[in-house]
Amino acid sequence: MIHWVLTVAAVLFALGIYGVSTRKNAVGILLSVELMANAVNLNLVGFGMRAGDSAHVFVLFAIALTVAEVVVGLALVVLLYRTRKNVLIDLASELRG
Amino acid sequence: MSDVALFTLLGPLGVALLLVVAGNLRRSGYAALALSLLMAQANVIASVIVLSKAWGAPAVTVETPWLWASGKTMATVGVHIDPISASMLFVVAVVAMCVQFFSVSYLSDEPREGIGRYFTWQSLFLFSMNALVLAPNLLQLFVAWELVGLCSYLLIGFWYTKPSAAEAALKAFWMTKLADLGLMIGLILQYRWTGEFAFTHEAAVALGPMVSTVALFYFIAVMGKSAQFPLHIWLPDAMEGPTPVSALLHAATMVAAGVYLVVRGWPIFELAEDTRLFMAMIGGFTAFFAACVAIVQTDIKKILAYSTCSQLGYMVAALGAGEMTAGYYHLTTHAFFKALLFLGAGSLIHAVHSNELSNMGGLWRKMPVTAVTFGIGTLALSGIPPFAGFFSKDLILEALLHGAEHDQPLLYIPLVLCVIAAGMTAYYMFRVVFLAFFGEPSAHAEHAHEGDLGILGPLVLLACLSFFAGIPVLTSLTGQWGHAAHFHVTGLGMLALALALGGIGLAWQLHLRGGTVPGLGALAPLGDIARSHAVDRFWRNLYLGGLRGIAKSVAWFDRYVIDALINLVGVGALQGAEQVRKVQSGRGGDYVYAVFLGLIVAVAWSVVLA
Repeated sequence: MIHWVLTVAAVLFALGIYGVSTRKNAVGILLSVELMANAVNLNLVGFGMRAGDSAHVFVLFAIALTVAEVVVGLALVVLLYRTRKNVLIDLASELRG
Repeated sequence: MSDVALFTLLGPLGVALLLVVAGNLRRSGYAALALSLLMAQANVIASVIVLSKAWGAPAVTVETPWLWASGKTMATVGVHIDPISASMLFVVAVVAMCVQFFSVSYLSDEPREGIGRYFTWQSLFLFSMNALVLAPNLLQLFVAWELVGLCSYLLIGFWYTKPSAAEAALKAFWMTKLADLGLMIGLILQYRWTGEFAFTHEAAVALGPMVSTVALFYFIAVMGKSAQFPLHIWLPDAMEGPTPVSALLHAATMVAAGVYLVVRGWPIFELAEDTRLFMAMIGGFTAFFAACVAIVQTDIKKILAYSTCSQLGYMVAALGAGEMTAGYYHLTTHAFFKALLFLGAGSLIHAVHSNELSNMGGLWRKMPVTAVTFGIGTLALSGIPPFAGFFSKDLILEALLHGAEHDQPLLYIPLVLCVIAAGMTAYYMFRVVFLAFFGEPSAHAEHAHEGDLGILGPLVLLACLSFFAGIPVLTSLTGQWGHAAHFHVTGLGMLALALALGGIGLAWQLHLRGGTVPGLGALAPLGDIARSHAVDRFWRNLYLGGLRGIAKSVAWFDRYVIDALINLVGVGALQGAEQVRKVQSGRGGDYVYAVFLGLIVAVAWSVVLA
């Protein structure tokens, strides 16, 4: 039973990585990050089926933290938009060495 | 007694330290002068007490441990009082007091800051010289030796804004430091061999076969300090300092420290026969050579400086001949009359504001006291009885003759040189007297007048000492030092006296009557050699060729090897950074790739390790 959950989580995670590394839009990258976070949560739920309820409580905390992270991420995106009038991440390359 | 001796060390040191620390006191000038002068007088009293107590008494040594090495005392500091050190202490104290007194008038035109500086260093010198004289072992002597060298440097460079004075100070410092290496190497050798720095007979015996080598290294330092050929070139230049300094340091006491080292380390030198022969040769040659150079000088202080070299040569020759008391006796008498001559020259220079003999002339009417005292000093230096110089020089010549007849025929060479130099000494000194005090006054000498009591008092005191240090104390003094010497009228002494009188006659004929002497022109090439500064050039070329050659190769190594390595590191870092910076693409996606790639590598690594 658990390996199905883990398989779905792995696929989700891989999709997230793919999204983060290929999307040019900052919002898309944020969505992909969310995918990866949820994949991790799903893993936790899956393991919780064996280990007990404490894992499920932990997932609730993780979701709350993810939301906070999204808030910060979206704030960054808004700031990016205000300064550059777009949210294309490849164009924001001032840190190039 | 040792308390009083300790006072002669700590008193002047205290004054010097106080003046160094309390800048306002020093810069006020007159407070420094008064303190230093008081201490110099107290030092004379203390030295008289020490001398009277040490007279005929066994040696007293008071020491305190100083350096420790591997759990035991390596060296001590303290005072060693015997008739030898006590009499030197007395000589130093008297000359130092006279010179400090003289300096008050001589330097009265200096700014107050300069006067303060001068007397601070005078006090420091007094301490250093006393520490050297009273040293209970050769290590303390070495430390004090370097300290008097420092004082010499500071006082030669007293007018440090004058380039020639600054150069002379440096030259004196470098030349004596070069020679001092000999003392240091000798000390190391002696310590390595015997485990102590003592100058006792036991320590000398413990040196065994090394004794000649150690003595030779010590003698190198003596050659530097006592201005023996070829290390003498700093002494004439040292005359750039104030004249009282020349009298105290560069005539009477500091340059005699070299001779004093031999006297102190006599047990070592006594056993080192080869070194002593070398000493006699160097001393005899210096006595002759410096006299030759003195003859052609026109600067009164330079004449006296070369004369000092020459007289130190006599002392070294006597020591080399194995007669310690003769050499040491000449040191004490020479200290008085040469200090007298320098202070007399100072009085002349103060009056005419020039060192050149051509700017003097006819001064004996205007400066009778200076003329008489200078004349006494001249007679003493020329070796005319009954002045002190005659007896001490006679002892030296007899020592050389005795040595030549009984154990080393080669000693005839320094003997002949010293006898000839005796005649030359009389000639060049009377040349000074005739040119400075007689004849037509030059323009500078028109308004010359005698100095005040501060200038004349020391002259008179030293003139008395130049007389009484002769036959009245000869036998008892040398008896205190070891082997009592008696004056005998000998053929050799009469020959030296005849040569001296001949020298005086020659000077009279040439410089007072303005006449000529047939055949004297043949000696002109010799005069040219003496004027040529060949020894100076030799050292200069050695310095330029040797030291600078080394410096150049070191500079090349530094520029092309060390710097190259450093530049390589710099350029490497720069180029490497240029490559590495390309990693920072600034694109978010690349960083994400990097993070995941790193993650995979880390996971793979942990799997491999597991």
